[in-house]
Amino acid sequence: MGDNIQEMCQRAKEAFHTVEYWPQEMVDETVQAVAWELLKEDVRHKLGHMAVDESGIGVAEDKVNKIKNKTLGTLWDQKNIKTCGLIEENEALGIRKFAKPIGVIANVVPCTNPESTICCLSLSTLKTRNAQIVSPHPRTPKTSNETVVHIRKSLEKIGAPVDLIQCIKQTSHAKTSELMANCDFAVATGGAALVKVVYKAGKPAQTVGAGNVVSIVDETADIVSAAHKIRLSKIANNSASCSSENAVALYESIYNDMLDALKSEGGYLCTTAEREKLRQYMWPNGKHLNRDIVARPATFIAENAGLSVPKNTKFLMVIGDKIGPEDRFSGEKISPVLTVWKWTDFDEMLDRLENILAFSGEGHSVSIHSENDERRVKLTLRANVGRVVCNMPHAHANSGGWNTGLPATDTLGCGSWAGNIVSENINWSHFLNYTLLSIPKEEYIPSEEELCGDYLKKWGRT
Amino acid sequence: MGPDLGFQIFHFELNHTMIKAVIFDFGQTLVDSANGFRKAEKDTQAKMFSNLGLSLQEDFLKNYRRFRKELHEQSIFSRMTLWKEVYFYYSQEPDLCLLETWEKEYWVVVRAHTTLFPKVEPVLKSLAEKYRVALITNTQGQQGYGTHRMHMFPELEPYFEIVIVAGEGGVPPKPHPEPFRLCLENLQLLPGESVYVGDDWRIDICGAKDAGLHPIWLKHEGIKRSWPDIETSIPVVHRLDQLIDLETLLSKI
Repeated sequence: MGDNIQEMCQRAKEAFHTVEYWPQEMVDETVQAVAWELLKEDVRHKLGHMAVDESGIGVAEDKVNKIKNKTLGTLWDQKNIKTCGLIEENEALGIRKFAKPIGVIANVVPCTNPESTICCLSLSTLKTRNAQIVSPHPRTPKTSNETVVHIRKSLEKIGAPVDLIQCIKQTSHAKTSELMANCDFAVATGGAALVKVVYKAGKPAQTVGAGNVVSIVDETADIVSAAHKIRLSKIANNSASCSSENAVALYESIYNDMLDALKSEGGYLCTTAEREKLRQYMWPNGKHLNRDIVARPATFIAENAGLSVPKNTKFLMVIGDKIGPEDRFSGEKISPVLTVWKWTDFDEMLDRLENILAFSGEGHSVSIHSENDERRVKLTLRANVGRVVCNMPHAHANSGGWNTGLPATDTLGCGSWAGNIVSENINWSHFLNYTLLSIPKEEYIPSEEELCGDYLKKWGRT
Repeated sequence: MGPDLGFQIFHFELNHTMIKAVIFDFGQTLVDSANGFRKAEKDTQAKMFSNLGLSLQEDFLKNYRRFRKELHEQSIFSRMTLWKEVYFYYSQEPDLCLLETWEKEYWVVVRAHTTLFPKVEPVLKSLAEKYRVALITNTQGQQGYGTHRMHMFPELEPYFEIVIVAGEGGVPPKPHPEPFRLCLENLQLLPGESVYVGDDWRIDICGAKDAGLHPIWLKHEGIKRSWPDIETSIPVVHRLDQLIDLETLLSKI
């Protein structure tokens, strides 16, 4: 595979035309062939370790497991789903809905998940009979390339066109822009900076937003269980996931107990002086997050920030102070550092959350540990996010998991709040066009009263 | 120096062709901007490191240099392109206004530290009496046309019958043969009728040779630079004034 973008697009187009009218059975066989290759233990092991070796980001064993879970989850979500030809029929309306592929899709992959993003999206684009060209992150081209090599191998095995997926070998900003401009559609998993680059290419696109998950814990929660779940989520892949908690907001009556529980889970609460040292290390210019700390272990960050913490420290905690650029700890940290807020009134906490999200993470997700469903609903109504995850390890549930109904993905739409076109978990359903076949139905013209009756009753006809 | 095949072909051509033009490269051939580039690069790297908010400086410099090398190998010299790639690597969107400011500052530094190599004007004057003299230079990606460093030395301009700035205005940069072809077309000369003098092995020497010109490799003495370790039959000079007696220089080959 060369890196001539025009040639790659041409090959992808040819592969796409080969499968454009394939029946569902052939498509499903193709998807399963690819999934099976990615599920192989040796393949997962190689890709997971390669990702960490190449980027220094995350935890290899977490990645090995993640590839399995994401692959199985994506496969499960699309099982028995029709994506070819006629997929729905409404006899009363005389409408038949036909699913059609898009064509060639540019997949811009992040360095935080250079392998699993491709696993999820390749199953989705194959399920929908699209071709895909991967633009790896410049930090992790080898891992993304190797993932694509395995997918191509599995396509070859069953006689499917291998160019249904290709990967740029030596990536660059210029090549990524060229790719997006030449494809029919783009999907880009990255922060706000990438969203702008993607839309500049002028093609329809699925993009994502920055995370800044706040996990609210109230007095009805099981404190020990909540602390454990927060720990599981927080330390997974050293917080490489945008779904990892960035803050906890603890109700005052359980504040001390919850802090103790978090400490028991490996949390280290920084003193005011330590917090300042950490701040200087994490935002050396006071503005941009130090990219050299992304998804590094808590002990690495502590040591380099000049803190002395116990060896078994899993995550660092700092007390929340201000919201906004004057206190960067209120935003996304992409590292095992957790900001702790205290609240006394739930409505006030929701106001505060609104400000936190307005600064960082709007459109993404929030978490709540509570048995009070009224509060869960209130939070859902107030928070401008795509997902509210209750009583679960957020990072393990937000993008799909076996005890949640949220679809499996590595690409979380964050809606117009983050400049995205959808606020859903991106999966197969976002890579289809539809054509509606309409035949005449029995004519029915509703009366004005039927449509405006309630208004007319109250306000009259004048 | 033992003759090899390339040497024999070169010699043969020279014996049968009259040299009518001497074409020069500009940067590091006629003018010395090495200290300027060094300082400008260092200043920009420091600003970028701070703006990116990083802590591992060695790591940053390694990546910066790697991108610069990769782009140079593709004959892409634009600083903006390089800097955008570095920001892309660190998953950040650069403030383009800031980069433009840096670029302006960059060239101010380069210009402030650019000097003519010794004896440039007498050498050009002497050569212009016997040959037609021209210039082919690659743009360094400065913003806008007409900002090339050669305008800093208006006293040199009358010596050049033709000036080609490659890498802008639809002309690909050297070592692509097009700028050489364009220059010769303007001079109405055949490739074998021209000598090309430059400092960069890949861009100037290989480029000129591939375009059919007779290259002369100018490896200025006394400047801090690691030259590529290449054995060649191409004539090599270490001072500009060695070009004055071009006939003797070429006849020694």
